[in-house]
Amino acid sequence: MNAEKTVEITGLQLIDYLELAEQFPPGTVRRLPAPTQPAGAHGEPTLVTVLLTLTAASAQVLTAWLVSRQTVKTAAATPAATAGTEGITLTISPDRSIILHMGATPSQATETGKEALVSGIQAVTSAILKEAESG
Amino acid sequence: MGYSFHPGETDLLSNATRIVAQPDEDPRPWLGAVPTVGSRQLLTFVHEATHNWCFSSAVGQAQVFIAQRAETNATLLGALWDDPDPSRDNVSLVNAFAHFGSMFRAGSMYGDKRGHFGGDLDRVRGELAALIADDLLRLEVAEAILRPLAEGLALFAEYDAVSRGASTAWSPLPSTVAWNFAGREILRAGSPVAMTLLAATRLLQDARLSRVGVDAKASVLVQPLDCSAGGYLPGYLAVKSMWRHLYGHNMRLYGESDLVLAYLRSFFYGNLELAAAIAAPPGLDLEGANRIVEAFTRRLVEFDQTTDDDVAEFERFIAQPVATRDWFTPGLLRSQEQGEAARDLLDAAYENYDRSLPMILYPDLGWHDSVGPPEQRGNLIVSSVPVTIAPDPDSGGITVSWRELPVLAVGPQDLVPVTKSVRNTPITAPAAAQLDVLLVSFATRNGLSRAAVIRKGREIVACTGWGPDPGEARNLAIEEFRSRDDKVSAANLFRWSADQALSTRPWLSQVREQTRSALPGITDELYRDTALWRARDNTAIDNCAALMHEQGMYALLGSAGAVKRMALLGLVASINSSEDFINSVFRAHGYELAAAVEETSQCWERHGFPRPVVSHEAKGIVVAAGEVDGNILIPLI
Repeated sequence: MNAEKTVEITGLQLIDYLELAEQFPPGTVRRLPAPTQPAGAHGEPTLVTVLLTLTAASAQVLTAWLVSRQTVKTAAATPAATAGTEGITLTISPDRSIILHMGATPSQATETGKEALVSGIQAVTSAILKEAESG
Repeated sequence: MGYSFHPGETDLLSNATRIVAQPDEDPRPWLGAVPTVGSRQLLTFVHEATHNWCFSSAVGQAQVFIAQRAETNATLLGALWDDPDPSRDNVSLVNAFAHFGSMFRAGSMYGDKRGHFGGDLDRVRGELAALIADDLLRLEVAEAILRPLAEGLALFAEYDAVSRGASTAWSPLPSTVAWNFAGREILRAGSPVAMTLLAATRLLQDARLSRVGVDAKASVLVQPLDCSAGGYLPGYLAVKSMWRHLYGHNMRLYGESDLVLAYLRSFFYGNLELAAAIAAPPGLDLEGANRIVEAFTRRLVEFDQTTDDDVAEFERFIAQPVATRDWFTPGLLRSQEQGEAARDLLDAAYENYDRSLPMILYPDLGWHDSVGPPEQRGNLIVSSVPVTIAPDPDSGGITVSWRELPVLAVGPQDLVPVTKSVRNTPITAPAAAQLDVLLVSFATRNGLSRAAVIRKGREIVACTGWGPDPGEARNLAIEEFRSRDDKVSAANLFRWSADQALSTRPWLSQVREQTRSALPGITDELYRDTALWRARDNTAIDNCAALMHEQGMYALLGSAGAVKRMALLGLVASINSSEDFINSVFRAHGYELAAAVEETSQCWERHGFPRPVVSHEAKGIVVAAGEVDGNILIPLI
């Protein structure tokens, strides 16, 4: 049985990663290496992708962290329809709105409000944990 | 899917820009008399516009020149190479290069020149390979040592620089920001200069003091103090130190941070001696890169001698209309005679190229201007997206659709070309096309002239202009137009053909690898002392440089929250350093100003960097937002 489930969070600022890492046990948040930029490319610092190991406790912390963000605007996919699927990704776009991909393609994302995002994240994390425990 | 890349991007050689992450690129806000972009893209826009402005300079142009020269020499080397070996596969770099040369010979009206050299052919090939290597090394070294400065200036523009209503000289950024981001408000204001500057400051204030702005700046402060990691923090701290040096002479320059930005850009990117060192004819001794490092080091050291009088002289110069300015820029620690000597060196380098072997043997090689002529480098591409075009029988023009939405109606007068001799294939059915929107020569036209260019295959089929003279904007945009993808591809080709040429002489590739491995150390050494200029002493510089190598200010401050508070303090103070104002912004973010000031002091006590926040009794002192009463707070970062 492999009880470890991860959530991939893309589009983070570097400070977000450090803030998340402060809130989780060591080794729970892993920063993925940035892709090599083309020669000659200049621009703002690249955004960061992290893998977060999901446990009951970390799911709650993640939910609280996402909710605390003032500019949460969008979420995606209905949790009930996709619970238990692999490949969950949270994409945080440059204006800090959040898109939740749960095994669905980004084009299937649907916009919901902050309230729905919170319940969506909670439902997803609960479903994943349940699956992990039963596996 | 995701955003593991630069939010925006500017390519050094082509100067092609992207100001939005590609999946989100939407041309619609740019397609109208008054752009309706909104503040979401503002900070990234400022960053990329600053890159574009810096790269449209003597130093930027010199870098493009040596890339073109390396490519031309590489093409000649290919033309003088052996015939391809049919028994070997093309995966071999050298054999692929032989195929490249064979194709060039077949296509050139001057044919095969290999017999011209008799027994000297291999020597000539070896020399050409060395010249290419010299230019490639220069290009890589110049790019590496200038990258932290480029990023530092762009970050300073993004998070610090502002003009005041009473400013007499400014960079192109405030008016570009106002005219493209303030919507109709700027038109209602009747656009006197002071209103334009204040509108820009207000827009920047909103963007910088938003949560997104604070997080973005905090993310810069936690970057590695390591030039091989993009050079963001070394460059940003170095530029902040230079600003501190100038306002240390005269506090007025604290409020005139946009003027300081323009000054720093001219001081380095307008330095003709550095440009001449970059562009100097290539040599067989491969010493060109060292000359560039020496020229840049000299300039960096010289900055210590600048005073507020120099900035004032520069300020008077740029306050004149562009059309009436002399070529020589005063106030940059160079006399006119010194400027002329450097300009002669630069001209000699360009003329030397016209007499070089490729030009003699294959005059049809000419200039490889596939990234566009210098004038085109100043065009700032704000959007580039695939579209479909369809004829509009009612108007006689075309309709442009993006993601199946009609976004632009082009009248017949905007169809291209309108020259008498050439006429494009008429648009009779829907077709795929590319739409590029550009701010035409944005730095000299203050972002006022905009054009949408629609291209089908290689043909420009339409162009619509906006601004004070839409017809002129349109004509300037389509003259030798290159789309963003074309520009970047052409720039990549420079590097590709020169890389191929180097594969013919393995020892040159080894020299290049050795240079590459030494570069991070050289660049770190160049920037370290300027970045940490205001540290307590040399021991503090050494210790902080070591501590900050991986996580920047995070290693000194110890928490993400403390870094965010430091970021916010600098952001607010650069707009308005009144303690009352800073306090109100801190409260709005849920932070305690006193705690942030104390954290900075403790950091100074512990590490000797950055300096504690300076508090002044400031009755009547004029800072960015105007005259201030009461205390002002001046943080270093």
